[in-house]
Amino acid sequence: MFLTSIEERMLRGDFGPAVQWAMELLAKYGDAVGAERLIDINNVHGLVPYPELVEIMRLEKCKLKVKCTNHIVPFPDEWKEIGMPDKDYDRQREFCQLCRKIGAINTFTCAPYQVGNVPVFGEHIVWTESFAQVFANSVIGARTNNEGIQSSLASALTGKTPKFGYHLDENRKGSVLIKIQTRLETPQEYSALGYYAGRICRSEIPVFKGIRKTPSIEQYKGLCSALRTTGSMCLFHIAGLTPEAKSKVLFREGKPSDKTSFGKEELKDSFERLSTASDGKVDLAVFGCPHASIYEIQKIAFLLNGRKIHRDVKLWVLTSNVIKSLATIMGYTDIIEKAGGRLLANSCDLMNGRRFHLFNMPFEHIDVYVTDSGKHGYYASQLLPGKKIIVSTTAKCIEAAVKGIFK
Amino acid sequence: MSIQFRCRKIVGGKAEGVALVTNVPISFWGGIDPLTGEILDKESRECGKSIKDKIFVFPFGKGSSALSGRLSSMCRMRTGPKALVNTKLDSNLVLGALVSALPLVLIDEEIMHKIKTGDYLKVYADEEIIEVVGT
Repeated sequence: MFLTSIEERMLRGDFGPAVQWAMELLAKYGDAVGAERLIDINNVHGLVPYPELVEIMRLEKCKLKVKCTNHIVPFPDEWKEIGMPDKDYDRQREFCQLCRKIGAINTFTCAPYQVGNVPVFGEHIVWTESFAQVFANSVIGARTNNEGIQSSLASALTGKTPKFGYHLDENRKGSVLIKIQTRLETPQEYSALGYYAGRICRSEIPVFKGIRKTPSIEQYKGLCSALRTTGSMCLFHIAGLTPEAKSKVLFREGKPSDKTSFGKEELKDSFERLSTASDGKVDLAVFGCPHASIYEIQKIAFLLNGRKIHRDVKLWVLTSNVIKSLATIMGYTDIIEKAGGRLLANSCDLMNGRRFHLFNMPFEHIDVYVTDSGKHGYYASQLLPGKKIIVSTTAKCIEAAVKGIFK
Repeated sequence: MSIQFRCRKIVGGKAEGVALVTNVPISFWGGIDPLTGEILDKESRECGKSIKDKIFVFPFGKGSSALSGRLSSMCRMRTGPKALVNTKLDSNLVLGALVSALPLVLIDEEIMHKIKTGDYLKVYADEEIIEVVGT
């Protein structure tokens, strides 16, 4: 891969050991993926407290070159009440301080656009987090590859990324045409579509045709997050609606490589696959995957206002510290807590899989887990084997949490 | 007797071992238990088997972008595979292979269908050759 003289100097170590590590990784990465050169970027999301990356961040003169927000972490602010050991929280505190020092913003979320990191159309960015990658590429029209935590730190230190994949026009065209033949209303129905399209298209870019009304941000969230649970693509188009398919849908070969349709039957089948049960006595109700927006929290607060969650049920809303602060200002945190539920900031109950403290609830005590997120339901069914997972609308999940039973 | 196939080098190196072949994409976060290497994804017919010390043959990754981090932690905990054989370039997997110094090569889909779980594989990434031994 061609390197400019500045990039060569970064590689030689003229800008310190952290930048040198970063350029070494980007040069190897670019060579491996067949990129001809690096491009400039000024938007990174995805720093996490992985030991090998923290080591780089501790290096002398380590300073980020470009704007960077931090990813979701395994250490929530509510660490004490979920039974997390002190030493784990010490790691988190050290990471927070380190990020402040090197210039990363401590957002700790999987939905960076909700807390101020909003790329613009056509902007080349470097984002980790599968859902956010699909959202940025498809809904906003920014350009990111499927980056990982190592490339995110390397790009944040250098302001560079290899020019390949979704950064190039020719790789952003559609492949599989999916005709929508049923009405999609709830975010969960959009999730069912995403789940289906990911399974069918695998790594190919789907083009949805037949969605007439611009989806709401919640519907897009459902679609983007579920698409990438079963698929590996970072992009989809909706004919006539998403920014790169507004006027004319471009297919890679001039026409679709494959065609399929999504009707009532596919919708029903996807829902049945996303849930592993359809009723039962509820133990856990989890909302906010990807992290809840202020409107999603508002909706939960309105549904819970003046009511009490069943004594056998634990209810958690996952979000970022930024949105939790706003929810507190608005009084929503108070409403949810009075009902017996809690907001969990910066983290996710599934992050550490079976090892996670599961909100102080022993693994064997959980039988039924309800969630309003297709993505969360999908991963919960893998990470919590033997447990009954139910994916349903926010209102039905809240109802189940109050009554203690999902019917 | 052994058969050789051409492959495309993505990350160099060589490795040999028993193949674990799954014809569906796999998520390293959620789809594999990092503590044991066991495949948890029920869509894979190899669900329940471990990728630890195997030559892991699968189309490409899917799902979570925590893949590269997960793969590097698994290699550190010695629950990772010895080499990766894919059919399509997956940038996040490339990163994981690079930082873990795991050989990564690409093969055609029809060649993937000829390799079975339990086959003994030699991966020579720099020479762009994979060898299926004893079939």
